[in-house]
Amino acid sequence: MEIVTPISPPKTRLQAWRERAARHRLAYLMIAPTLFAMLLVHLVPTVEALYMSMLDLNQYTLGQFLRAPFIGLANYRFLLLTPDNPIVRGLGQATRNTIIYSVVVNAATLGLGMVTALLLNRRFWWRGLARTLILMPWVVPTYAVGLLWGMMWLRERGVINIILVDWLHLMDQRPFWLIGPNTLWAIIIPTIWRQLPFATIMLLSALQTVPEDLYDAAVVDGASLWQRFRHITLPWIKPVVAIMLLWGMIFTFFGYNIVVMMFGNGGGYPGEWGDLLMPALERQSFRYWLFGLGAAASTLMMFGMMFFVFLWYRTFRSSLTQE
Amino acid sequence: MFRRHRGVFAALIGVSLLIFLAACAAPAPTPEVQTVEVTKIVEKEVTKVVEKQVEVTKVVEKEVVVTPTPAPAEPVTLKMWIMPNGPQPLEIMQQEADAFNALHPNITVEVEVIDWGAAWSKITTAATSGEGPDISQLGTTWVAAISAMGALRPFTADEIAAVGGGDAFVDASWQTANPIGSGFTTALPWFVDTRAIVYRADALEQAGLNPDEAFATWESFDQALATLKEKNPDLAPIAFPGKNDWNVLHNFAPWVWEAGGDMLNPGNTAAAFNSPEAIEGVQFYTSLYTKGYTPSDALELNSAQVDGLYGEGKVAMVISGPWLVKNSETPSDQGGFAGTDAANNLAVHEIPAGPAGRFTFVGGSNLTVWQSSKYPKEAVMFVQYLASRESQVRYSANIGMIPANKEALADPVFSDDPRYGVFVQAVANGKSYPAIAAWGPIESAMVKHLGALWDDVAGVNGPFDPETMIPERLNQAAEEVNALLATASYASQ
Amino acid sequence: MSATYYRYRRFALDRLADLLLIAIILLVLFPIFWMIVNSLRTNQEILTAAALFPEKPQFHNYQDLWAQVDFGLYFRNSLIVCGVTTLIVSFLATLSGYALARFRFPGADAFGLAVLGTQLIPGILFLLPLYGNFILIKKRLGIPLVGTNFGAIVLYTAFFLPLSLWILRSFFATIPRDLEEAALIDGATPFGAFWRIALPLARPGIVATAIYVFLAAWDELLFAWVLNVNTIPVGIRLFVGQYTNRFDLMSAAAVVSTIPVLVIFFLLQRQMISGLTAGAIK
Repeated sequence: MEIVTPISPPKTRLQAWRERAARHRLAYLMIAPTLFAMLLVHLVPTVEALYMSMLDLNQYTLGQFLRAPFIGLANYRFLLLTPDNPIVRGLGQATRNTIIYSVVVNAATLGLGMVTALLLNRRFWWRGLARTLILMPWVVPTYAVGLLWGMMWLRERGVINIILVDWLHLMDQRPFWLIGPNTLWAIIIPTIWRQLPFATIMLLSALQTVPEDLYDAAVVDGASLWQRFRHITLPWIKPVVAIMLLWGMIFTFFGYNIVVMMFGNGGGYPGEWGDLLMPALERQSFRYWLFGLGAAASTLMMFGMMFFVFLWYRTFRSSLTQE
Repeated sequence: MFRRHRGVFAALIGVSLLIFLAACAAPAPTPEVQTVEVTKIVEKEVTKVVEKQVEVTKVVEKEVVVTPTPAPAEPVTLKMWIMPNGPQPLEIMQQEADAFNALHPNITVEVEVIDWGAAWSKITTAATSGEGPDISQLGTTWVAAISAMGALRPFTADEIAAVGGGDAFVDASWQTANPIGSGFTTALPWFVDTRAIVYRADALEQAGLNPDEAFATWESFDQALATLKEKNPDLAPIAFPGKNDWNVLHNFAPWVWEAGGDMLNPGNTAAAFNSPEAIEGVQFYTSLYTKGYTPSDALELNSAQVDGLYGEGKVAMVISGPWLVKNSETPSDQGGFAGTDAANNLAVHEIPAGPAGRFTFVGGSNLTVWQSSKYPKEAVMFVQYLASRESQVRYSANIGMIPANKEALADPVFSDDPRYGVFVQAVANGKSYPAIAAWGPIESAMVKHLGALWDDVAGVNGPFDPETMIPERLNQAAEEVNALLATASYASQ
Repeated sequence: MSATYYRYRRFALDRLADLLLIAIILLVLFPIFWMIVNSLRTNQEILTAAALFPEKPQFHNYQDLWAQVDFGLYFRNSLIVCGVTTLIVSFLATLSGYALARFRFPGADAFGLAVLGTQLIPGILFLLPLYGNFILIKKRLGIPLVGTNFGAIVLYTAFFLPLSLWILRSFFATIPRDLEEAALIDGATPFGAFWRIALPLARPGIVATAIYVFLAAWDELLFAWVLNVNTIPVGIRLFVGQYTNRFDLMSAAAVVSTIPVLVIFFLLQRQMISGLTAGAIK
């Protein structure tokens, strides 16, 4: 639909830009509603929030909202320069947990998803059924996932310990899952469980787009199963893996529902090993009413997120732009 | 080129608009309070009528004559937020709203149940924006904080006098309704949440224990638990929840008080819960777990799950509230445990006295009218009704709580029942937290650190050493609480 | 000889793969089985039970849950909010996605980046200002955005548009331009080419997007709490209070809340799968 610009007298760049813009009125009309929604919900409030992060907005000044005392970068200074303060320490723990959570969940869903997808990517009569069954956890809403696993992890009466200890005798002693460092596993495993179907289905469909003749040629060359996977399959599906990683990163960094629903139904404190950034920031803002500080911490989190996305982009740039 | 298809485009936009409209037309979750446009003259007249009506209501309440008062012309809808109180929160509250509506046919109350977890954020945002409900239930420990945000409408002296003044309510509750330093009363006490020991009479009997002796002092209590454990190894002597709970601080508080400690210093300017006395109290409480008196998994349960342990007959006693008595009378398919051994042998006793005396945590909820309410008069009337003896007896009994109104408390329903009666007595030894604005954040900070302490106690951070680990956690908590108290803001330090 | 050997080896490997797959399926299904079983126990039984099956299935849990809390209200609201959001987002994302994929209009790259950028903002950052703005809009313009389904729809539309738009942009990019160009030569307008040629071809992509949006909206918790929208995640927590927990009813409610997703899923599974991958590859 790109119409070749007819030969015309030289124009300034601005004029050229205007002309091109004028030609694409339909395109602008098509994106207008999206632009409006983004302005209303994302852009304007985020700008306000950035300003909020420079305010002394707390319990006492809450009523003044954006007219609260302006304190410049004091909130950021506090967060970055007083790591020993108990509040900052709590956020530090949450950051650590979030990073571990994100890495483990994404690695495991991709790895397990790949195995499952390869198993499904064969010809057998119950393939349709198997695929449907694998997809099932995806229909369970995350809040239900948190509630459900919260009951399953209990030490004495939770079904997981009963299976591990009483039935399979894998452990001598019943471990605590919802207390102490194990808490991190208690949130990681259900997340993997919930994300596995999506990963599987994406990878499976990607696998099915790999041209058969590539494999045939490789077989003729005497390539082993692993070599075929490594040199044909992986490069072919790399763009899908890249996109899945990005989505997975966003999903895990902003993970909230499972943690909140698993521990004391929002009442308790998930603990030093169960707290993720989103619940921690929510507590900062809505329990301590330190909104200015909360906004500053959220802003830092956003910058961190941008950094990771930048890394992601650097890593996958070539496979994303090959089209 | 687009011009020719303007029609199609318009149609598409039209369709999307229709969808929006359909969405608007669909039943809204919380229908907005009906805003009735009235001219000022009408408004004045309404106000007059309403004022008269208040007087009439007072008379009605004093004489307990239930006669419908003449209704003002304008129908009024009040929006009320409550938390999930009792087994059927909405139904039970609706009864009160209906009873009030019978007296004042022009006032309807729309009740919305919000859960405690979401309540914080909901109430905060409502306070920020000045768009709240007309009336809301607030946990007693929240009143001062929300008052400090300027969201609550103070009750006038006349309005308080109409319900019998501050003396009409349980002291510990009344204190929470008057934020320290504000000079205002921003809430009326509704119901009281207090704790006592709920135990199996048969278990104590089998072990040859006399309840009054067993629950006399910390020493005798400890001794009794040891005896119970020895005599009946299958039945854990006691259970209490760990960190996954709303009541983390409320569970610790009595032991701190009984040891002679306190939460904050007398001027409410610094944390005091890391004093040697308080540490002693915390050590005693946690020792009940480390001595093996509880089921090993108690620490990851919440209060309701611990109550469940009792109902199931797994433990000989729990420290719980009057709702557990109510649960014991509720059949199992409705969520209770009526008819079980645990229910049939249920008895209640006050918690043992410590070195500094006997103290029980008294919490519960108060009723508040919001500044943003368009109908403050009517809202106050409804709150006054809910604070009255008649309503409190019925409501508290229905949700399994103790009323905050002393007259209601003296009602035979509560005082003559041997089991509820103990809770009524416990209220006399009741103590609550200081009603200061910073208490909300302080409690959150303490819940966090005490939660971490429970992790230590469970032994997941290496062997538990009460001599070093408890002071360490409490000092950390004190550090955070002091910072919260010292200044309104962290950043401006 | 060696051919037979390879055939046997292949057969054995295949059966091994079958076994592994069955093991994975069982592991994946167990929690769902447990959720359903729990929903048939009594409250006391959930707190104690280690048995695989309930003593006596409590089917009445599925009746009681509607009475205990006004769960019907929450369920209905969730259906309305998520359904309407899905329709609107699919519609808008189709338009914008097509515009991005086909027209090299000035600002296209910036727009695309901005759209992705919105996904990096933590919701908690703009939650309070957003609420403030919604209240302001209500006061100034009289549009009720807080505590209404309408507000939730506006919000979720904005939330889920960006990713949907990207999925669909990629999807349109996979559709060859030749057909549309042929239509243009035949005298169709650009809009006509989009409407009659590209749109029908993009159907699997649109279905996939719609399902993504529905699932995501069905899952949203934080904003629903604060903006007073009574959707299922808000309602389900009412079964557990400070003093009374009804884990039995909550489990039943959890099962009920997965049903709409399940239905949609089964109806549209095939289209969704092809749509999702096509979108992700490009």
